[in-house]
Amino acid sequence: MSDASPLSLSRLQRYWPSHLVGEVLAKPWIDSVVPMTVMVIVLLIAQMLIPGYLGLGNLVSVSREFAEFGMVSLGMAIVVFCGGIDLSVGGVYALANLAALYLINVLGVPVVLAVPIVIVLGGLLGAINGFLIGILKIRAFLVTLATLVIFRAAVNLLLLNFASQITAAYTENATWDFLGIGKIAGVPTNVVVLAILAVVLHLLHTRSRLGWHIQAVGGARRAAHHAGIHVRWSIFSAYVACSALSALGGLFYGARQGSIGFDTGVGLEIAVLAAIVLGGVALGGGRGSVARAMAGAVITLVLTNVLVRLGVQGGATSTVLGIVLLIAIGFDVKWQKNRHKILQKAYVSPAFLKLHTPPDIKPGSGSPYELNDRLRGAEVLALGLVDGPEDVILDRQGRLYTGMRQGWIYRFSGENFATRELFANIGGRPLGLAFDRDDNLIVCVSGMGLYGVKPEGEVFKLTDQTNRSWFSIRDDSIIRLADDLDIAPDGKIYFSDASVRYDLHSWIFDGLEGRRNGRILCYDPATATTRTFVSGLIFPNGICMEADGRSFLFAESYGCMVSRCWIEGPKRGRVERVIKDLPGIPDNINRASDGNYWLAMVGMRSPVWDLALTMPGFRVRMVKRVPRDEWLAPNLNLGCVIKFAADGRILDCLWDGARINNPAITSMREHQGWLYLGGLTSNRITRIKLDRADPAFVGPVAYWGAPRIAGSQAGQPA
Amino acid sequence: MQCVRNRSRLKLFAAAICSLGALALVSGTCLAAGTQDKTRDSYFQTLKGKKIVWIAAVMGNDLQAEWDAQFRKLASAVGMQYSLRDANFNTQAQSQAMEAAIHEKPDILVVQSLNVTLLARQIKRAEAAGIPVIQLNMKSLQDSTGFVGADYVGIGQQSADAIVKACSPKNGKSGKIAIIQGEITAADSYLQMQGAMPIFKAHPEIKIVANQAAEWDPNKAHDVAATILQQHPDLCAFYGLWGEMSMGIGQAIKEAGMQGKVGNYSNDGGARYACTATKEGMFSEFWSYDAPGQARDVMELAISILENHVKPGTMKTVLYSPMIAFTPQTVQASMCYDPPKR
Amino acid sequence: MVGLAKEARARHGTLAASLTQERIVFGLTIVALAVFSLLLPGFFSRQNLLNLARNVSVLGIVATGLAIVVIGRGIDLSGTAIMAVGAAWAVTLSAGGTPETLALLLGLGLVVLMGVANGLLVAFIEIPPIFVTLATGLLIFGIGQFVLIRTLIVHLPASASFMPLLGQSKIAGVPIQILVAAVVMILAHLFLKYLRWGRFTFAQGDNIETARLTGIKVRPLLVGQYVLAAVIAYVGGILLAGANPTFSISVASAGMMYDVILVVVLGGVSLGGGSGGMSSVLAGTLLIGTLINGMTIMDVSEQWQSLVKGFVLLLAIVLDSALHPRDEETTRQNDI
Repeated sequence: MSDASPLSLSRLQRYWPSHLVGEVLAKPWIDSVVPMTVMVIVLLIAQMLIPGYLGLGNLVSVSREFAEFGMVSLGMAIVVFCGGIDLSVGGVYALANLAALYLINVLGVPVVLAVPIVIVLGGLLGAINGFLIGILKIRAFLVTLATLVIFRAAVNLLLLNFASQITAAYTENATWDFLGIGKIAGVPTNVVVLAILAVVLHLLHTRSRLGWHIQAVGGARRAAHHAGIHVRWSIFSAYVACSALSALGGLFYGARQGSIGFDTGVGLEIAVLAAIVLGGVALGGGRGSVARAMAGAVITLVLTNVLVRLGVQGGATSTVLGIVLLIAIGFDVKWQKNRHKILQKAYVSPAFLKLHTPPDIKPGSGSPYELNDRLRGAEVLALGLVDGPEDVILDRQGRLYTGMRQGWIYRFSGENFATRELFANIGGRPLGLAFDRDDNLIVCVSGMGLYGVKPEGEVFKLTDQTNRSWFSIRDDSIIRLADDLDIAPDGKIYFSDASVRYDLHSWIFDGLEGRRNGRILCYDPATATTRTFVSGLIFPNGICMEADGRSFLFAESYGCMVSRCWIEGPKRGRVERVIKDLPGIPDNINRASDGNYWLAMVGMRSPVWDLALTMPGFRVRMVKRVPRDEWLAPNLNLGCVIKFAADGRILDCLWDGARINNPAITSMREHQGWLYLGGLTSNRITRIKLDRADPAFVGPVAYWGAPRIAGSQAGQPA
Repeated sequence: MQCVRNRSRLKLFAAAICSLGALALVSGTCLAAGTQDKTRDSYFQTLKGKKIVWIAAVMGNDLQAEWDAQFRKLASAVGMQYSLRDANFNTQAQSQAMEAAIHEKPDILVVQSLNVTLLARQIKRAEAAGIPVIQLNMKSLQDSTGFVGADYVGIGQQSADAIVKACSPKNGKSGKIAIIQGEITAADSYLQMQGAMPIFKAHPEIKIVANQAAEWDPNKAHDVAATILQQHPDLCAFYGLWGEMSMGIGQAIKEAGMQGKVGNYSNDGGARYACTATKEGMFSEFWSYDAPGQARDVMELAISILENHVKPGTMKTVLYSPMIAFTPQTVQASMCYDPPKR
Repeated sequence: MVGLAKEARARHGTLAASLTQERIVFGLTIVALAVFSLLLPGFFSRQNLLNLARNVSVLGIVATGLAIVVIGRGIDLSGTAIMAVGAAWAVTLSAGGTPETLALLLGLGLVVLMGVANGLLVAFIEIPPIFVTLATGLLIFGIGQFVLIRTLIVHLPASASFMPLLGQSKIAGVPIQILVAAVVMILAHLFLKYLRWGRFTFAQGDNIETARLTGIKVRPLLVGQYVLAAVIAYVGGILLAGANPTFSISVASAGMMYDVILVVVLGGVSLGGGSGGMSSVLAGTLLIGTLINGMTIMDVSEQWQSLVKGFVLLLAIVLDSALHPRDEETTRQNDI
C-alpha cells in the first residue's frame, strides 16, 4: 500500500539523519568541541596573519615556548578538577627555577639528581597548600593567595643572596642544555615531556582511582564524603601534584632560559587560570579534561604569541585576552545552562512512518479482531502483590515467576499461587523471561542486558554488550533495552534490544520518533559472545522460536507487525513479514499448546496516531514547542491477546472490554489449560481457562523435553 | 677603569662613524648634481630594505617611546624596514618575541632585555644564526655584536660622589642618606648599587639610614620617603634610582616643607618633565643618559654593521651613552627631549 | 567550687566564640602598635601616625569597595585596574586640555561603565564573578594602556587643582586623604547598616536564592554593588593620582590587588559572603598600615615586608579556621 503511494518529501524524511544532532549533543565530549573549535580558529587566524605560522619550523619554535606554560596549566587543571584553585603556582615556578639553577650552576649537582630534587621541593611546597586546604579545610583562594605572597617574597630574598652567584656561575652543561634546548626526533625535549605528562595525567584522571576520587570531590564534595572517599587526602594530593608540575615547569624554564629575574612567573597564576577556563575546565570542579586544559593553554599562548609577533604594543594582548576570556566563559556558562534544554528539544527526532491500514475491530464487523469481553471472567492472582509484571512464566513444577519494577523476581507457588517468595534480586528491571534446557531462568533486564538465574536463585550475568557498529555516534555496544528473548534448540539466545536511543523510562518516545532504532541480538553461550543479528527494526519486542527451530517470530511494537527471522538454512538472517497490519501495538509472543502462537497487545492504534506518524514535521514541532507530558502518546489503555498461526492467520482474539483486569497486556503463557496474563503497569496477574487447550501442556517440558540429569549447566557461560 | 678605557676607544670609533656620516652628507649635498658618488650609492643600496627589529622590554614609558620614534625616523630615512615587538614587562612574551625573531632572521636585532639572564641563550643562538644583536640599555650576560646604553655603574659612581660631597658633615650636613631603588634585583638597580656602594663605604661619615625598594611606583616611593623623613628629619639626601619614581620622593620632601634642605638625586632618559621638575627644585641633581642620543647610537652602530658586513661574533662594540647632568642652577630646556605624542 | 568552674568554663566559651577574626586583628594591631612604640623612638608621634594612616588610606578606600562586593558573595579582581585606569584617564584628559572637572566627570562615567559591565556580566550572563572581574581587569588595564592612556606613567598637569587638593593638602595638619578615606568608610558603613540595599547585600551574600525568593531584586542589586565598588575605587584613584606629580598605572598590575584582598579578608570579611563590615576593613587596613610603617622605619627590606604580610594573612586565616572550623555537611559546593 505504501509502495503504491507517490514519493514525497516527508516520505524521504525518514532517511534524513536528524537524530544525529541529539546524539552528538548527548556525547560527553561535546563539551570539548567549543574550546577545540576556538583553538582551530585561533590557529587558522594565526596562519592568516603570519604566513608560515603553521609551518613545521615555526611550530617547533613556538611549541618550545609553550611547554612550561602547559605543565603549569596541567597542575592548575588538577586542582580545579577537585574544586580548588592554586594562586601560588607562579611562586612555586620561580622558586623551582631558582633552585634548579642554583643546584646545577652553583653547586654543580648532576642534572639527573637535580631534577628529582626540584620536583620533590615543588611537592613539598604543594604539601603546605595541601595541608592547609585539604587537612585544615581552609579556603583555597585565601591559602594560596597567602602562600603566593610568601613564595614570591622568598624568591626575591633568595635572589638578593644568590643572584650574583648563579649569574656568575653560568656554565654550559650538555644534559641541562638537552632539557632546555635539545630535541628528541625533531621535537623539543620539553614538548615531549609535556606530551607524556598530558597522556599520563589523562589516563590517571579518567582511569585511576585517585583521578576518579578527585573528580568526585570536585563534582560533589559532600556526596564524595558520604560515599567514603577520603576527601582530605584527595585534595591534599591534588595540591601536591599541582605544585610538583609547576616546579617541573620552572625547572624546564630554567633549563631553557637560564633566567633568574624577579619577574619570573609573575602573573602566571592569572594566565594559567585564564587558559584552562578558556579550555572549558569549570572552576568549582567536576567538569573538564586534560585535553581541554591543553586546548585552553594553546589558545592563550597562540594569542599572545601572535600579538607579540605582530608587534602590537603592550595592552593589546591583555585586551584581546580579556575579551576572548569573557566571550568564552559567557558562552560556556550559557551552554552549560541550556545544553539540556537543547538536548531535550533536539534528541527526540521524529521520522516518517507509514503503517498499514489497520483492520476493523468493531463488534459485528466480521474481522478476526472483533472486540469481545472474554477476559472479563479472568481469575485474579496476586492482586496488589506484584508491581509491573511485564512477563510471566511457569516452570516444570507449575510455579509462576514474574519480574517486578523494583528489580526483583517473585516466585508464586502452592494452592492458588498463594505462596510468594523472592526468587532473585536482579537489580535492574526484569522484562522477558525464558527457561533454558537446564531450568535456568534467563532474563532480559532493561538497562543491564541479559542475565540468568539458577534454579536455586543465584544470579549470573550472560552479557551486557554487543559489537559496536561502525558509524553509530551513540555507543550502541550497550544493551539499553533488552526486552524479550527465546532460546534456540542449540542454546543460542536470541533477544530483542528494543531501542538503541531510549531507555525503558522513555520507551514511549521511541514510538513517537518512529525510527528503526531496535535490533535483535544473539548470545552464543558456547563462545560467550554477543553479536547483533538483525538491526533496523522498529521497537522489536516479543520473540518466540518456531517449532522446527530454524526460525523465530518477533513482534515490532511500534511497527505493529509480526515477522519471521531465519536463523538457519539458506535464508539465514532474512526477515519476512508474517502479520503486517496489526490493529494495536504488539508485545510478547509465546507458543500455544496447539502449535500456534499467542501474541499480547499492549495498546491500540488510533487514526490520530497513525496520521501523526506520517507527519514528522508535525511531531517535530510538537516536541519542540509542547511540554513533554503533553506530547501525543499511543493508547495504552486497552489491549488484547490474539492467537495466530505460523502463516499469519488470526485464529482467536481475547479482549477485556471492561478494562478492569487486563487493560494493557504485555505477556501471556499457556500452562495446563490456563492462559496466564501480565501487564507492564499492572498490579495483578490473571488467568483464564482455555477451551480446547491441552490440559497437560507445560512450556519447558514441551520445548525442552524431560529434564536432563541435574548438574549439567549448558545455559551458563563456560 | 676598564670601562673608561673602553669608552675612549669607542669614542674614537664613534667619531669615525660620525665623520663618515658627515662626509657622506656633505658630499651628498655638494655632488648631488648628476655626478656619481659610489660611496653614497653603495650606502643607500646596502641599507635599502634591510630589516631591523627591536624587542622592547615594555612600551609605555617616555624612554621607549622616544627610542621607538627615533628608530622609526632614522630607519625610514635610509630606507630600512623597522618593526617593533613589545614584551610589555613579560618575560614569557619577550622570550617568545626573541624566538620568533630568530626564526624570521632580520638583518639587525635590537633587544632591551628584561633581565641579565633571560635572553642570554637566545642572543647566543641568534648570533650563531647570523643575526647581529645590538643590546640596548639593559645588558645581558651574553655579549653580542653591540651594546648601546647607560653606564649604570658610572651613574652610580657619579651620584655617590655628588651625594658624598653634598652631605658630608664637613659641609655641616648630617651625612644621613636614604636609597630608594626600583626592584633590588633589577639590573639597573643592581649595577648602580655596584657603582655607588663602594664609594659610600669609603666614606664612613655617610650613613645610609634606609635602603628600600618602591617597585618603580612614584606613590610607593612617596610613602616610603615620607616615613623616612618623619623618622629622620635631619636626613641629607635621597638617592632614587629612576626619575619618574623619584618624583614621588620630591613630592614627599615638598610636603614636609624641606625642599632645598633635603636633596633628591636621580636619573633616567631625561624627558621634558625632568628639566621642568629640576627647575622647580624637585631634584637637586639629575643625570640623563639622553634617550634620543642612544637611539641614534643604535642606528649608527647598526648601519656600520651592515655597511661592513660584520659577521656576528667578530665584533663586540660597547657604546656607553654620554651623560648629561644638570642641577636647578644649570638646567636648560635643551638638556631634555620632548617625548613623542601618543 | 563547682559553680565557679562552670562559670569559668562558660566565660571561656563565650571568649572563644567572641574571638572573631576582626577582634583578633584589632588585637594584633594594638600589639604591633605597642611593640613598635616601645622599640622605635619617634614611631608613636602624631606626625608618624598620620603618615601611617595616610599611606594606607587609598588601600582602605579600594578595600571598602571590594568589601561591599565580597559581602554580597562576589569578588572584584578588577578594582585596582578600574582605580588606576579611571584616574589616569582623567589625568590624561586634563593634561590634554579638558577642564579638570569635566575630565573627572568623564573618568567617573568611565568607571561607572566598567562597574555596570562587571555587574551585568555577573548578574545577567551569570558568569562567576571571579572570572568576570579577572577578565575585565585584564580588559580594562589593556584598554587603558592601549587606547585611553597609551603610557604607563601620567604626569599631573600644572593646571589641575582639585586632584592635588585631595591628594596633597591637609586640614589642621591632617592629610585630606585620611579624611576622604574616613568619609568613604563611614558612608559605606551607613549604607550597609541602614540602607535597604545595604541590608539586602547581606541577605544576598548569605543566600542568593532565598534573597531572590523573598522578593529582593537580586540582579539590579548585584549591578549596584559592582558600580559602587568601581566608584569607590575611582575615589581612591583620584587620591593616588593627585598625591604625586607622576602616577604609574602599573600599580594595577603589580601586587596591589592582592594587597586589597589581603586587607579585606584579614579583617574577617568572609569570601563566603554575608559577614563582616566596615570595622573589619578598618581592622585589616590598620594592621597592614602599622606593619608597613614600622618595618619601613626599621628599614626592613621590601622582600621581608611582603614575607611578613603573607605570614600575617596565613596566621589570620588559620586562626579563623581553628575558631570556626569548616563543616563538611554545610559547606557549599563551589566555594573556593
